[in-house]
Amino acid sequence: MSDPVSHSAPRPDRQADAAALARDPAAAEPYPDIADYAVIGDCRSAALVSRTGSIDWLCLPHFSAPSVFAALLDKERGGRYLLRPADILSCRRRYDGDSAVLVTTYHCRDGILKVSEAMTLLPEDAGGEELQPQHELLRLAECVEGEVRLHVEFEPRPGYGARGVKLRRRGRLGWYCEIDPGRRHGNQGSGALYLYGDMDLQAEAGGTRLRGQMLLREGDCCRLAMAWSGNGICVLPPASEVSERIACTRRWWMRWAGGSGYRGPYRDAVLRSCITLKLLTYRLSGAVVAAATTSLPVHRGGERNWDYRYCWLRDTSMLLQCLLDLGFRSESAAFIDWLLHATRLTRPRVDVMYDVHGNPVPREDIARLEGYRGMGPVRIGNAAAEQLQLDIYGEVLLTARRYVEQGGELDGHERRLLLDLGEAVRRHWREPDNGIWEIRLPRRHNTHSKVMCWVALDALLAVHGQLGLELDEDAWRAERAAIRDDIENHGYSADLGSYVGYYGGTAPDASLLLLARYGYLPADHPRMRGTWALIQRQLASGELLYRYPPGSEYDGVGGADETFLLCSYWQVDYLVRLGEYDHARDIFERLAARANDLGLLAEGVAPDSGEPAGNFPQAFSHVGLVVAALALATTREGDGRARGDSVVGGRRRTYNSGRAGFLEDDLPGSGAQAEKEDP
Amino acid sequence: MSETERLSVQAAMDVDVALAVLGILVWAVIATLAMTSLMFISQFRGWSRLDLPLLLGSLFTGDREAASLLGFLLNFAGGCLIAFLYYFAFAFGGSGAGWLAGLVAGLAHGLVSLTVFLPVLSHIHPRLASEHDGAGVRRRLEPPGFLALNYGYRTPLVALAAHAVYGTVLGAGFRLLM
Repeated sequence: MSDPVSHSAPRPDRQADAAALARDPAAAEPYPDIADYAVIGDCRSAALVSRTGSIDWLCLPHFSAPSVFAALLDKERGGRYLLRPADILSCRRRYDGDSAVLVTTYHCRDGILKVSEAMTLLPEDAGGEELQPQHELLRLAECVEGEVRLHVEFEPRPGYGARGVKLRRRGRLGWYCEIDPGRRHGNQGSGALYLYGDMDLQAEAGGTRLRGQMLLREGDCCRLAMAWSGNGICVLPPASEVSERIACTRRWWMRWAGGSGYRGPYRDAVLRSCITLKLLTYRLSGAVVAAATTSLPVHRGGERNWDYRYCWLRDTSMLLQCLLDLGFRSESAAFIDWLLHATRLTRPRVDVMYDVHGNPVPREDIARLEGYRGMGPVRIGNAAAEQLQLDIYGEVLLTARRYVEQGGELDGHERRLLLDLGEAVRRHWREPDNGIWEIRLPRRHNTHSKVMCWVALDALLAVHGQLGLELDEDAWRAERAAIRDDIENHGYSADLGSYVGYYGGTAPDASLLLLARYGYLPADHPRMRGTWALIQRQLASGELLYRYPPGSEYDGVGGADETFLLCSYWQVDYLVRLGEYDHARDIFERLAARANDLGLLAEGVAPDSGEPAGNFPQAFSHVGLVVAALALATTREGDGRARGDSVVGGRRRTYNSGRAGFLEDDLPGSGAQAEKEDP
Repeated sequence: MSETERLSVQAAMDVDVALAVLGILVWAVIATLAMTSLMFISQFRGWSRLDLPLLLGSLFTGDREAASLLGFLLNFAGGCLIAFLYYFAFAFGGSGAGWLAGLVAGLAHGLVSLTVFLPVLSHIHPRLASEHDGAGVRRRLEPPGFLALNYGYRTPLVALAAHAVYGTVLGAGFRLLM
């Protein structure tokens, strides 16, 4: 499961190594491929570690705070924390069990080095009675065989590379610097950073960078700890505890992953996706960010560089539906709490996205970074926050429905919120919106958004009795029927024999595959089959799927789009519902092969090169993988499992609460649509 | 003076003392609140990382939340008790109370805290690490260093300003009592 790493030819002597070290390696090395990155994190922030041991991305104290290391987006100005051996011949890397502890084994010219690294998460029974740092990143290098010369370079550049730091030695406490991202970011991200451990580091470049090297022989190890504190006194656990704390972190993850009990197919891929999704969860609030990065380009030379380090209600809702299906209920409870908090100012209207604390997302700004491989701009903030996206209501209410149906409890405020959201749908569903793909054109009537409004009312009608919500059931049913009527009259093209992306348009949209998943229509309904056929004709590229026709004026953004992994995985879900299990499994396996060697997925894939495209790792893509795997787990007559059940925790559990039994005469034109709206 | 009169005078004196103590306490609470608020705001704004409640509370426990709560109570009680010293200093120091005297006393108090209290605390605190020995299993809290500069270069100014506010409030308040 490893790929050889590209490397320079072994240098003839140590002096040459020293000479190479004297140069600024950031200027000399190319950008790694996106697939070369691993992610480690502490469920508050996440670091990207390249295959060659460079931490090129880390924002502190949380995902959407200004960066401390951003060489990912500017190798010269961004800052990095590098730990790697000299003379690498090849490397293998893996996560340690079902954890987010990264283990990389370097095969070097004179020996083998194993590096374990993690951001600390301690189980409740670990850590004893002692104070713990706010954030801690640990790296443990062990020489397994022969001898290896280890290099370390540490260059924090706060505020997206805009600010340098002054590194100072604090005796045996190690090296220290104040992190000040600058006034542009308020006081967000200011704090103190310590780096300490076994290696003797030296300051250079005016104290803005540390560098050191160390010869490790078989059995030797080098422990390094980086501790961060925001506005409080820094806590510095001794370097002698690095190994133990990494082991504790591994235990924390194993315990969390053990809560799933998933026994279906592709267990490793599903668990890795769950762990990655958990890594993108801000554990202090329950918010989940869409991705750990900003502005990794979707397409070379395009404008599609977006900041995904915020919590989209849609993405989070989809994710929580997956986690609920896998048995992780506490995350959903935390999200509903967070939602209640986040919407306190806008309720019953919900914004498209919030920051991890439930505050509005900052206005879009351009950072002074060249961008990944020079492909800027690097955006901070997201202008889509001001859009209207009606589908969000459906996703949130569907999540609440799943939560309640699986025994989750809601308090009075939460129930009231759900009712308010439903009322908002009843008031606004006739309005045009920007849709699931955040179209930056004048608002239009997106078919998927209308369907999600239908799903929103459907979800509330399904659970209002259980929740004791007082609503006029007849009026709500009539409203739901009116939405369906509208969709069938305007969102379906008889000429094409397919639903279309927006009213009056002729282009398909991959989100229409969800109509079957959400119980709007059965997958084998002629209209769904027609939609599937059109999607395959216009959006498919092998097993990959575009969101909408590439190169069209569908979204109003310059530059080409790449295929979208989430949509690609929706094909699997649809095919399973259609009963084409083998076809579904074939697509799933080919898509799974698109992950990097650690099982991580970006937003999309460039069909030509096969390279990952867009932000990384991307929650949406991992949600797609889990949705698809769960779909495959639900059905296969030969397995003796009934369709609609999934194998979670060794017992049957209703997987899809959607209504798969709709009849054709429910549709407009049958003359009985309104009466038969409800089964 | 009859016994009754003596008791009456005694009772009146007792009431005066009680009222004086109450007055001192009221101003002590106001001054301490002002000082701790300023410290809290400066920490929140990122001007200083000095967290006195955590420093004090972690003398007794390694649990962050318990240490912060305990430290806040200790800090508050300390602020109220020290107010009595201010009162006696103003009462018997000859200069009397007033905002200017309070300001001077507060600055002196702040200077002593930075140059004497925190360095001494560094030596006796069971959880403060040291630059000489490094971090330990228990000693893992960043030490304050000279003038608490380890907690940010603005820390001495913030600490002096907070104590100056404390002294000024006490000086002005006690002037009303005297």
